[in-house]
Amino acid sequence: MTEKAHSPKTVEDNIVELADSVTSTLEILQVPSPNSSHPHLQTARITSQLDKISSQTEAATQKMLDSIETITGRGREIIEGLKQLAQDSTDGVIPSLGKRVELLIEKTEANNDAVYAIMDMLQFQDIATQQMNHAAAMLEDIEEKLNLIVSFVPEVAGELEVLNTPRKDRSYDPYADQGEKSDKQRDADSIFRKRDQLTEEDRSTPEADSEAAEMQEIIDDFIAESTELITGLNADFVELENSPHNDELLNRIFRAVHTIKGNSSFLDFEQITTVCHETEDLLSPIRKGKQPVSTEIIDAVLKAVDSLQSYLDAARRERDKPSTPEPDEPLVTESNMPEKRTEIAPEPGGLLEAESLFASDPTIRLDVGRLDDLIDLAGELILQRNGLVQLIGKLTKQRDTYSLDRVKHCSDTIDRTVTDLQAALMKIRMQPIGAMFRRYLRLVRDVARKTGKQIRLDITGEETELDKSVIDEISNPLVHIIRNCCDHGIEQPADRIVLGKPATGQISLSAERKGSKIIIRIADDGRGFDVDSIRREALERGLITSEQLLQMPEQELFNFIFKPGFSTVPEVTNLSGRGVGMDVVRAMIERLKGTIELDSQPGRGTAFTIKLPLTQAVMHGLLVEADDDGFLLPLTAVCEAIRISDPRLVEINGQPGIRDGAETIPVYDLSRMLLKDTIGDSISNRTYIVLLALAEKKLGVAVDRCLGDEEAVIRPLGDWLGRREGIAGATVLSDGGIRLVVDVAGLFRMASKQTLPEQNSGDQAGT
Amino acid sequence: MTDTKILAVDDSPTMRRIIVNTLKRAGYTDVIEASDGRDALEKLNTDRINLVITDWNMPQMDGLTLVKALRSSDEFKQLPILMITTRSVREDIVKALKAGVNNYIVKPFSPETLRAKIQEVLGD
Repeated sequence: MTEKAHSPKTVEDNIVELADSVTSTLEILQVPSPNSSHPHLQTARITSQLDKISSQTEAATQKMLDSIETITGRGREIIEGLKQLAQDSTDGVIPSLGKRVELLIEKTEANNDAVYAIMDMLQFQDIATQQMNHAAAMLEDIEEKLNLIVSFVPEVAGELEVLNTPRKDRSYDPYADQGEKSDKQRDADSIFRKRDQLTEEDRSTPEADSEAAEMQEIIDDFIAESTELITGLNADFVELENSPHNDELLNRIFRAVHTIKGNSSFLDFEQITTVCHETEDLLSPIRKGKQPVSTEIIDAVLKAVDSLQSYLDAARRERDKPSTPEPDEPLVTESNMPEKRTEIAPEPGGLLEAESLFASDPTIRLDVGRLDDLIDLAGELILQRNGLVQLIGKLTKQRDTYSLDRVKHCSDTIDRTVTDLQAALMKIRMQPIGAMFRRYLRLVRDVARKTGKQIRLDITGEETELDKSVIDEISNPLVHIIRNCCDHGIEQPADRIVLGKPATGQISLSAERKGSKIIIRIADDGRGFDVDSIRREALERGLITSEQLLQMPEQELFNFIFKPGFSTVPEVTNLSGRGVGMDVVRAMIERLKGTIELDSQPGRGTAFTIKLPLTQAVMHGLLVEADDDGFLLPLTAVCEAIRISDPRLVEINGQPGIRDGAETIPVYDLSRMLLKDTIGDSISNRTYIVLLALAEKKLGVAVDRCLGDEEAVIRPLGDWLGRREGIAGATVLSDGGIRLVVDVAGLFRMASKQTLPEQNSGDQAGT
Repeated sequence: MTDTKILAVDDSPTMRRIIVNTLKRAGYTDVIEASDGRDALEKLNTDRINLVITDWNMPQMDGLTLVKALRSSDEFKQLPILMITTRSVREDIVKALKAGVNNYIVKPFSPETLRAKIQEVLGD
């Protein structure tokens, strides 16, 4: 039994010390340290604080136990003494003492029990100490992982800050030990925290407290909101023309105009206020039922909307002037706004309320550039993860189980985090395509008015979500196709009636998601392509010989439409045929790693089908090798890999091919084709043939080895390499090696260039 | 009952003291301590132990490994073992039972629980 006396001062000191270190740790946890730019330094500081508290708590607990043992020990001594006393008293020394001594014994025993109850409670203190040790250990884990990542990619060290700000609200299950369960919790927490940070960080810019910056923000919001409303107005007015008695629609238009009017007068944009006012004047007789909706009124209000747009553009230029001048982007449509920011926002509605500008909505608005940086980072992390996976493979061979377990744990965590991070980031980028689709309502109306045609645009699949950058890029090709449909596809109303069609032509625009692809279809019920004029034009331009032409299926004839300068329309109208041909459209879509197909039936109409990958950032590819050069073939194009000994392999006119039913698929040597510009060499020294497909066409490439699939972040090749057809870019693999990423569309073009002028061996040989 | 010798294994000195005090109050005065599984195995070789009370999470050798080691040796195959741990997940408890512990106490424990479990395990 410890009989050591405790001076109250040491206990007091102990408590003061403990309180101090608890306070300082809480401060570190709550306030991000300004001078610590490296999160791993931050974790190190917190870890040492946790260690300090934990050891001080333990020291305090031990002292409490000392006291408990002292008190209960003394209690027992007292009880012994009292028992002795009771014994003496029964011997008759002091007869009345017996009962009172027994009572004292009982009370002392109760005292001891109470003190032991304190001891039982000290278990919690001990568990808390253990938990702090676990927390510290976890932080060290994190630190280790961060250091590992930083050691792989030194240039992201500074940027890691973005992903790892101090961890707050860390709540550990008090009964959970360091294990799977808390890991999972930690991962989930960290992702949610990161999402919150993105929003908060974005909302609070450093200058937010200065008044001018606040005003600037209000104006920014106004421009963004009004732009959106104007886009909506363009579509709504066109719809109003088609359904003039739709009161709900009319009310929506009024609300939008009123919102812009209110906001603009609040912000002193006088001209905008005036135009809104005039627009309301134009519309109010309609609302009161005094005047029907006429084409003239719609023309007038659309003109007003255009001038609103130009005033807004002016305001935007004014805003951007001091900082960065707006780059001149090609204006393709009247409503094609040079958007600089990503917006994910629901339809703003309702009348003006100053608060509505500040109201917290569940949306974020952020610079696309910043988002791209994050996506790039996630991409880098994927590469590092792949590197770790390879390392694990090596360690497994070396049987270093200790390091292996550690690296595996680390890699698993990174894996989960990266996958979630990437998915979360990708989701941010996704936007419904509807807003863009609705802009074309106005486009179609304008073209119809100018050409005297009647055209209706039907839109489906507005809710289909697409990567923001893809939406931006796909807009111009779509505008071109829709113009073509209006201009060349749909006939004049009188002609249509003669042909037995309804006077109003119809263009349907749809989007849908199929697996990892987005399919956009533009179809008209117009005259369709004239196959004979395609044949004539192809012959005249020397693109094909007449014998080849006879053999060519109709479906393939349409591919000529995508040749540069190819046109079946003799006269160039002022709408389409402005020098931008379908070849440019195809090039733009292929740049997005998409494909475009055309189907047309004379007299019935034309349909364009565009297939786009969901995202541009990461690609899955099959890693192949030939002559020690590595290539990555996009998995979306890979059909199958066969051995060179496969009986389907045949040779026709010295050109190797693979029998596929009645057809023969041409086979080329991948390495020589891409790097040595030769085609048609023997492939007998290769081992595998990988079959690739693009739309309905197929070709095979011969390689030495197939090494498995990889996730790759595609990087453009440096300018010094020049642009090589058939190569989309390069990627850094998990082993640090660089591989060329094959551009499948380019490969097919190279192949067709080779086969068409000669004996058209390849695909037609077997038919 | 009084000649029962108990080995208390826990890496936390605080927890060991709490356990030892609780045992003493319950009348088990002959208690020796070990700070982890390895330490426990050494003590088991030198002392004649009637009951092992062990924690799960410990450095060097954890409680589960200790239990498995004891159960695989002829000498300690039948030795009563009580596990006291903060692990309360169902799978963990099943794991401990499969390894061969005689009973399982979740921290923080009450002195009554400890006493009752000891009696259960020792068959008193």
